[in-house]
Amino acid sequence: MQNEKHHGYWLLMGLCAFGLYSSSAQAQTVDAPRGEVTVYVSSQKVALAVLPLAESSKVDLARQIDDTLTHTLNLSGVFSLLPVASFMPGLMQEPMATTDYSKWHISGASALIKGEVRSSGSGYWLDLGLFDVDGSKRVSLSWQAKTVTSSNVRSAVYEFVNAVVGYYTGEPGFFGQSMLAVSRDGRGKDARIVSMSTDGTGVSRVTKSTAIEMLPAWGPDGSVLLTSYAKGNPDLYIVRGGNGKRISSHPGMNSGASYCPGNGRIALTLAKDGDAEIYTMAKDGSDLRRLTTNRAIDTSPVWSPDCSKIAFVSDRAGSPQIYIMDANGSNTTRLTTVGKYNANPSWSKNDVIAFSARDESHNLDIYTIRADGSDLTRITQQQGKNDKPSWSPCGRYIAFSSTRDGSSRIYIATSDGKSQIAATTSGWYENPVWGH
Amino acid sequence: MKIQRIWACALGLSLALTACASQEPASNLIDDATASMNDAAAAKDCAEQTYALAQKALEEAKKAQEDGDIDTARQKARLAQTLAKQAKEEAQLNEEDCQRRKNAADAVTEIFAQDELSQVQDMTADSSFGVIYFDFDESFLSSSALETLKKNVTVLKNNPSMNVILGSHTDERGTTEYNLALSQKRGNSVKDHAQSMGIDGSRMSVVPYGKEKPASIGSREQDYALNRRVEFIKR
Repeated sequence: MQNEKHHGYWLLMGLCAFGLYSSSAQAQTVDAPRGEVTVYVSSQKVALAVLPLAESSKVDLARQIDDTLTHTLNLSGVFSLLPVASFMPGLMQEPMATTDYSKWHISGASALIKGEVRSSGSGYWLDLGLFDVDGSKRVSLSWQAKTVTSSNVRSAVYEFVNAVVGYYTGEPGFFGQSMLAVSRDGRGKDARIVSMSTDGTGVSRVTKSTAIEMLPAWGPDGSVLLTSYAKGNPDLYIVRGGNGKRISSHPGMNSGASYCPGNGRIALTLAKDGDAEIYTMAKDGSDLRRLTTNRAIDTSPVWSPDCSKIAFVSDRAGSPQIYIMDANGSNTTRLTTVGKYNANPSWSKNDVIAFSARDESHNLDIYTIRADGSDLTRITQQQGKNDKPSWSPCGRYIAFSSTRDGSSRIYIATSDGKSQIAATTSGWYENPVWGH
Repeated sequence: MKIQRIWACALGLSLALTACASQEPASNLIDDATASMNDAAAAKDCAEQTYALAQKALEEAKKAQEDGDIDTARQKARLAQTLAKQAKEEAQLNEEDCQRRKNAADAVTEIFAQDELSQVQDMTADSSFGVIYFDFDESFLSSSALETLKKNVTVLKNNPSMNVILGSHTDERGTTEYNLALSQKRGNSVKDHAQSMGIDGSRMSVVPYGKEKPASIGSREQDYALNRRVEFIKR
């Protein structure tokens, strides 16, 4: 059983490394660069008990560690966290050094996380451990007990959780990576661009501007590309260390930048020649090349992982649909054929395109489709407005915004949609853009 | 009303009917003006200024009559009647836009009652210009939108040194950037029409906002209708 689970999550490594994907629970044979590999897929989550540190520690930091642990372990989509109420009597006080595996097993746990934190000099000494309940042993992780401060304890917990996720999936977790997003004081209020950690914490403004900002993207060397109305018109800016430099200011929209690190070019939408059309330009705004030429709306370009192609949105056939063209604007083919409103493509490392689709009730939902047009998959259904998907760098997760809880929040879903957890738990956030 | 008037004239004995019209008692004229006011009551919200002027004239007529100043009473009553009719016509011309405003005002009251988040911003960008509204997912100008545009074009023609921003918007349904492109298309559509009506293109800049600056925050059809718009803003 445990072995099957391990096999299942080892497949996820295959996902990232080889671009393979399956959510079915059957054995499948798939072609991989290093020959044929038979993999076993388990969609089952690992039943995990997390013993709260705050139970045994008087240190204030303990509760923050507990909160970060449970939030990130949930977000990873790998674990099903057991309620504390299901722990057998006596387990809540169990020390780090001794583990009653049979009691944890009876409590329903396949895995257990315990920890200790205590004052040490000017900081704290923190130990966290992963225990394989089925195998009755403490798992040896690359993560080691360490001295932390209140300002870096979160990073220490991220590293631990990444190691735990890596143990089960073969691919470390994504915590510690950054995201860009749109933030508002509430529905319909002015949009601002913020950065945050992938667990929804550490939110900070990217600029100090009071102008409306929209459609953020990661630019060269960790810079941020965004559209701002700072000078009245929606112009494109590149922001480094809070300072913005305007790199595209044609009349009308200059928006939706997508940067390709490989060729150093920015794809974007301009309306300088009338309707919205797609262009590429060098990262300083020079060498502008027009890729689309028709009287329809053409917008929202995104590069393929190798930057040889661009996916974009066009209503040339009467309704907004997703198309793919070569990076020079030739060989345009239509990708989406189902539904009357498909937009906001995001192209994964594994050549799967996630997008927002609007149905008859005008709600938005997230779908995925392979770049060859196969495997159309619905990720969200009747859970408020779900918009603007963004793939994680490894292609195993999709961040998106959802209004399913009333306020707009950033959610993180596994690529099959089976796990969907809110990263942000307060405020109003939209348009997540996953970084590295 | 007519019968009363004839009756009054008949009592006058020596007066011919034609003379009756000009020498009609002030009370009859006030009655007529009041009837016209009632007739135009629906226009109260749609031709606010003219209706208010009519109401003022009618009150002045009544006061003059009480004071025994019959000439002034007659004159003010006739003015009130003319203004009431004018208000009605104005309201009819302006009906579509007006109805949207009325609905929005009603909606706002209701929304405030049930949703604290709701609010209305920037209902009118500039009172000398009318707001041009669009149908769902469309960028073409309806006949009422064209009527409003004609008036805006007249304002621009009367003020040749005035330049404007065409602030262009969509409702909240749909995605951010496609809506930005759609609002760009709406702004372009208004600009093209205004150019064909004789306004130099260099006087108008289209600034697309997509769904970023709703005039009315809410998820009712009325909110959406108010948000699909192009506003003329003096630059």
